[in-house]
Amino acid sequence: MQKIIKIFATLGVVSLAFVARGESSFNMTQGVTDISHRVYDLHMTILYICVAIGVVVFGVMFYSIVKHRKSSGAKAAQFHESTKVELLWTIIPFFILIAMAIPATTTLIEMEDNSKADITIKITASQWKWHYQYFDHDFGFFSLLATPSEQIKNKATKTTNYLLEVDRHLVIPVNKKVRFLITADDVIHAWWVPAFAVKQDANPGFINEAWTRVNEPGIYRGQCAELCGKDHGFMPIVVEVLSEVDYQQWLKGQLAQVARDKQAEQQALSSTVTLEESMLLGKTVYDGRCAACHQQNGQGIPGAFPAIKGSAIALGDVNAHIDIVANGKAGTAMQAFSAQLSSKELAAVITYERNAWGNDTGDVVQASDLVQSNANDSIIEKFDEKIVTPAVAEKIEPVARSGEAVYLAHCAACHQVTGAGIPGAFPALKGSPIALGDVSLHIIMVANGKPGTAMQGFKNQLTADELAAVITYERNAWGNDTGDTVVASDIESTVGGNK
Amino acid sequence: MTDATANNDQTLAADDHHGHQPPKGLMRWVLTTNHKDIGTLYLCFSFLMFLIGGAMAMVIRAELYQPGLQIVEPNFFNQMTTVHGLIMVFGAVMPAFTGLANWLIPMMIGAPDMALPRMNNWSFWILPMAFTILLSSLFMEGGGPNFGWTFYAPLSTTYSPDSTALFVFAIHIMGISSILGAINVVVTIINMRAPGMTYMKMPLFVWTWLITAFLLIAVMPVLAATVTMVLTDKYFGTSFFEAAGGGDPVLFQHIFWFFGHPEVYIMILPSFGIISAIVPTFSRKKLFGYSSMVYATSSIALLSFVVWAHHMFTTGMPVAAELFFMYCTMLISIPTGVKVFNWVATMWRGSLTFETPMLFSIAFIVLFTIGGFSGLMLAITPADFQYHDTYFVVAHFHYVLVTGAIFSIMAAAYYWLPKWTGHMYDERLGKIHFWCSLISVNVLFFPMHFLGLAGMPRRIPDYALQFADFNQLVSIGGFAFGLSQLIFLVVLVKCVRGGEKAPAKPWEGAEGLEWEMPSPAPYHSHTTPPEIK
Repeated sequence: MQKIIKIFATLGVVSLAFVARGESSFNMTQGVTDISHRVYDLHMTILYICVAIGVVVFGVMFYSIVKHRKSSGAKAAQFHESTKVELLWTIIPFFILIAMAIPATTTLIEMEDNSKADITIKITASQWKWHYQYFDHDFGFFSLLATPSEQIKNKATKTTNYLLEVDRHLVIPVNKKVRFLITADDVIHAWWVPAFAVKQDANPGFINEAWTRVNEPGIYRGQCAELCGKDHGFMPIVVEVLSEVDYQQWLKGQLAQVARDKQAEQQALSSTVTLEESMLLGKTVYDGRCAACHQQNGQGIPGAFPAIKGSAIALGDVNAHIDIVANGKAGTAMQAFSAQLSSKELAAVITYERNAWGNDTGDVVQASDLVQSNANDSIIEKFDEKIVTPAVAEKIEPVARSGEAVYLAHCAACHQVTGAGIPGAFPALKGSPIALGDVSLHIIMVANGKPGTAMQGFKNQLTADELAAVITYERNAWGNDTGDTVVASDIESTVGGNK
Repeated sequence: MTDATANNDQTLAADDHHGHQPPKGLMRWVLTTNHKDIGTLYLCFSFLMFLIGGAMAMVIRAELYQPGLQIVEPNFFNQMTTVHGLIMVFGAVMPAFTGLANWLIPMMIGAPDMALPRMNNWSFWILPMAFTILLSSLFMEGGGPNFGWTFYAPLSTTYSPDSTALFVFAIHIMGISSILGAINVVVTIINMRAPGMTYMKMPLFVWTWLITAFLLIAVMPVLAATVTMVLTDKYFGTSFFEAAGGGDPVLFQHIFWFFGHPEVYIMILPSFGIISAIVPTFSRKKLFGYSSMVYATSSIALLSFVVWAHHMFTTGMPVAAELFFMYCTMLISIPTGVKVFNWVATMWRGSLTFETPMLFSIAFIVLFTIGGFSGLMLAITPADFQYHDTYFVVAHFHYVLVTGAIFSIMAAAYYWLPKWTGHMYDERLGKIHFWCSLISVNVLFFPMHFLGLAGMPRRIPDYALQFADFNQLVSIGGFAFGLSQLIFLVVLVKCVRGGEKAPAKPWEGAEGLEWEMPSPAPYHSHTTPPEIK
């Protein structure tokens, strides 16, 4: 018996030594932010307290097991019940708990202080990808798993960052407070980067806040942390932290790319592709975006995801097919891909679906068909958006342009940069009765909010000038074109002065 | 009370044409209203479910043996994790405790049977139906439930497979069964104690079950409401959990965990009662603080209603709420500590022997406490942001539920088997079962702590390469633990079929009414109320 205890004791010491070594595959990362260091310290403090309590309690118990054995002649004592002892072992733990609660509380309060951010990035999760929107610069992109399926299916050697590689990194600058606004389009996901000690659920229809200030440039990896369906294990997060200079450089490159993409989008409309070209691009897009549910062989998963092979939609009316791919299907897992793919890619993937796996309709969908398609008005609008370059046309007064800044900072999280909202969760402003209708109703809505909804009253958050600017912007952007200009005095006469 | 018992005696005498022996054949089990038969049914059923749920765990561990997808598809993997959880919680642990309650409570309080014998029969026999429905959903087109045993909306509503209705109805039936069982326990304990058996003289197993039964009656309806809302959201167009219709997906989590957290204590309080019976027996010494154990159990039960949101720290709650739930959760460690200290104080200066039930109980105390420690760490909100939804949590609740609840059930089985069967179990095999289980269960669950801390999320079918070594070790532990339970099956079968004749009181230090009747316990116990000293 003593031998066994010795073995266990040695094991305990060895494992503790491993834990105490700090940065290791046994323990929590110390991370690269002040917060993550504090969380690590908190974790270690509590671990040591628990180990100490464990050593005392189990020590007493194992002493008893060794010494008070019947086989070694121990006679049972008859004592029991002692209020003094009971009180003692109630009160001592209470003080230990208070000692734990104090650092935990201060750390928590600091973690939850989302104010005074330098940069704001909106993170939108959907099955099974992340979208990052840079609020301050009006652009964004999707970030998808980049590990090839051959590696997952064990047909190729797994590389170093297996399952932790994405096609586009989220890029943020070092030493800046970056605020994340986190939401989801379909089910609940959770955005987690251990090195930042940031884990925040992405709830559909609601926006959560989190922040980080990273101390060291580098590449940091994380994963989705909330079960979100079939490919929950396959939506990694990669954050690249750059020096301020490199970040500005990167930003410039991104904005240039956005301009190039828009040009390409316009060119695609006037060009005609052959079936072969389209099938080639279509297969790439299909395998990347569609195969997770509908499967590479187009047969879907019966009872969960419908087949495309031989399906009524793929063989039937082209416009209906365009409609479902571009706009999704409400109440199902089918997403709207018009926001995710260029019109060339959309046309190609639809062509692919109509001709692969023996569907053989012979149809070649062109990018221009998407715009001309009468299947659904909203498609036309969506493609219009991509083509009309600036969100606010030049003809609008300067006041509206300052309104754009206010809009991006305070409104776009819900109503979106495009003014299209999130159908079902946040109403569109583009073409909405409020933005096109009576000015005073619009002012009241923005200033006082709408009770019982997520719409806040902005009267106390913005100055009268800012309110006027943002309302002007909303009434003229995205083709709302009312021509109305709201000024600060209109605000005061409608809803009174603000604080 | 005396009158009631006298009446009961008359009824029994009138029924006596087939003597005190049960009818033979299958119908004995289908029609039985005898608490011992129903207890046996519950225990056998829960063991069967333990093996089925365990087989699913084997599928999970086989897939996770190495990185990459080898054996199952992600969608099926999710069904395995979901149904494994549901079966272990509702099919293995809870029915096992109900089975123990049926067998033991009437014997312990000096009652002839449970108070509501026909309801007792019904509350068992709807369980196999519920699990048939649940398991059959796995064979439907699109598969069975794949949204985790916590079935968070909207993954379980808009995005769930067609078979979700079957899942909902199965949960409803399990809930009804639990509520019926709990009502029976409450009524029995309140009304059928032998004269002189005051509340503060009841064995702790009875006390902990009484409190558990109240918890069940309080929260199972909440679970029923939750699944009903899932049903109507999915099939009837309501929007309880759908932001698009004005609902809130986080509301689901509040309601679910308002059920879920007391549920955790439902699965551990009876264990406390079992350990409080076994430790004094094999220490040959009275339990150190009986009344403080009763008070500690009650405070754990009360606190369990105000800690639910510690499962939800990352959902975006306000700081004030996070602090409240953190403090309340930390408080639970005080009454839990009181229990552990009491067991250790009971062993202190006792005269200890180490038969299999005692071995399982000592393992319970140590390993459950380790689960308690990781629970305390999880309560610390800032650290929980790192632990939440990782393998650290998986390690935590398996320490509490496997080396906690299930080890206590095994301890109970070994402890009372002589009373149930009239035969001593094979002590040597029992000890082999214990040591195999103890070693393999730690190889299985301890490295999960490291995996979680290193950043491996839970519920993933495939993982990054840095997690490969530990996962392989965990899987080996898992297979070994699974195989070890087959030894238990052998011990049980051997003990039922024969073995050394058990005396009325096979354990030297045992106390309680059940040890005063012959082994095996007669079909009808305490036909006249026993005398309480």
